Amino acid sequence: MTITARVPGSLKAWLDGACEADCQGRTVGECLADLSRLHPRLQGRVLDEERGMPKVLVFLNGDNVMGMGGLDTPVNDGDEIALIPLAAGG
Amino acid sequence: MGAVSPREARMVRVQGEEVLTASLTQLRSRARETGKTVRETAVGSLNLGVWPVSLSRNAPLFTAPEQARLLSARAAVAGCGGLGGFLASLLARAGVGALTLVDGDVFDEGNLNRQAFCFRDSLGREKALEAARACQAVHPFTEAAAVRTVLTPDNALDVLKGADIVLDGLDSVPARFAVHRAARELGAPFIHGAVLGWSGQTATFLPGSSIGLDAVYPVPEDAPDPPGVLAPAVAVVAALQCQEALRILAGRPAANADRLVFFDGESHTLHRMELAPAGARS
Repeated sequence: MTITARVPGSLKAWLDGACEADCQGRTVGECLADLSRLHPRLQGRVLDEERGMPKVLVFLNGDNVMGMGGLDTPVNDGDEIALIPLAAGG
Repeated sequence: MGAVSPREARMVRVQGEEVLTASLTQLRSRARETGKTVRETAVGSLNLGVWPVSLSRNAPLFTAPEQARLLSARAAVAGCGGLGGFLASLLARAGVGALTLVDGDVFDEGNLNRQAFCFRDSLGREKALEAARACQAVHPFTEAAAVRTVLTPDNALDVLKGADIVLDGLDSVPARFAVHRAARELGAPFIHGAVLGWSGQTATFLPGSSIGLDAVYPVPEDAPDPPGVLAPAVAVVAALQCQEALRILAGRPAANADRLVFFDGESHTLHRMELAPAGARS
């Protein structure tokens, strides 16, 4: 299944200068793992392997995956995953 | 009566509408005569449909009773640095009558790139005091209280007591959680804001909502290093937070309850997404 991942412009360095990239997988977690394999700058920035949680906000077709099945949420061909960084400055 | 009456008011036209106004001199003089504060006099005048001249350009945007509500309200700004400085300034300009400005820090050179009240000659001075001084220099009816303390889980409730709304100008995730908890206990809406580089975000948490700050920050921890932050991103996020606060304080529905608005300053796009309770499973 091909999924489109999008990041805001401020994170495009993570996708090697692009704001969107395709990835494959059956769940959100698998797609993010595939994305990290294709774009190594994502590694360690998106998934907290130890806690099994995303390190950024992850939305599937506009809905927060934490309100669905988390990283285990199944995806369908053509779905869109958006990654939003955790801003914390003031 | 502690007010300037419509009979004493001067009519001006704003955006094609006739607006009755009272000058600062009239408001001050009526306050002296009646033993009321200038703020009470301005609220009394608004309740009669008479606007302080200094707020008359708000008139097409709020009704006089709405502006009276703003002037009667107290907003607490947690942190008076980047976001907090702009927040305090914008709230004061818009005519929020009472501000509680909280910060335990002093200005240093590293604040000059983004903090509204930081100038070379204010280095070393307390942020809360500088913010309060600047806010009180705008309208004579603004009552700005400086609270020179670092917000913690132990003191947040006491410090924020009396606030009708709490705005997030903090730069620490654990402090945000403490302030949000206190706002909830006080029954006050919490307007979250945070900045990262060219970008930033805001979200509104109303007191009864089941969604909290843990929907934004899955782990209540700070990154090891402070982020890079650009002044325009700070100003945009503070402006979004302030507009939401004005809506709520005026008695209108929140525009952004339980939603995250992420402003991407590199592509000039706003992303608005529904938040979900952390760890929820369908």
